[in-house]
Amino acid sequence: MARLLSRSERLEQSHERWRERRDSAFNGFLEKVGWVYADRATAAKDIARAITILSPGGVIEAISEQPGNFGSVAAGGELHVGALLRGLAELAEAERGLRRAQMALSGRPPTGLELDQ
Amino acid sequence: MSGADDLARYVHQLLAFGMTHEGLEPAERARLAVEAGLMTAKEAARILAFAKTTADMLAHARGSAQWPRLMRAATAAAYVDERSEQSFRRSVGKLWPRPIRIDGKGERWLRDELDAAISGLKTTPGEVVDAADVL
Repeated sequence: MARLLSRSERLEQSHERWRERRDSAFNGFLEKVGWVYADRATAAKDIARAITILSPGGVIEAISEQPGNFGSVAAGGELHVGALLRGLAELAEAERGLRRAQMALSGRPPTGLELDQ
Repeated sequence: MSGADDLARYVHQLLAFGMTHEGLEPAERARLAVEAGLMTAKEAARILAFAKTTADMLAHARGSAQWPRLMRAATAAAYVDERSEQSFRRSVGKLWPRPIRIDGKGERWLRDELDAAISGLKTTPGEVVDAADVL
């Protein structure tokens, strides 16, 4: 018979699931950045910096209106902007979920470093 | 640690920082992000600048979307903020474009042509003086 999980074990499992989802969302986001931009790493960093200042919604608007804000758009890259925006929204949601899970686990807001570990 | 790991770590730190400070104004968030060493002041300034450009573009697009592409004289007069339809009509062919004629409907002004006329006011000062005479 399966053992009932304690609250802390459930929270740890939830946290682990959100971390996996976040990592998966990040990989998906990075892949789609590469579909749109010639320099994937530079564009990914630039987009993340913009999220830090503007929020994901502001960055989605900026990409929709002028993809060139975040680096050189690769040949045919415009065709994939929609996919990139969906990837960005998924990443933002996963980061938020991971943050909530971390707070539930520790009882306090996590630092950026804790979210990353 | 690989370059991919470094990139992932940096992006996650940025996103976490953004969530932690999401109640603040962008300029304040930018200042704090620079202080925290997450980006240079130049990078932050560039992001604030293109955000403003994007906001302006969206505001313009939303404003334009509220006006029809084809306008009757009264609508066109309101679009260019003339005092009246008569005042608008007096300037047609001088300050404002001539209408097209649609069978069964009558005269209609094209929003694109009105926009072009307005843009022309800005780029050709001599015409503005003439326009003032007309008005």
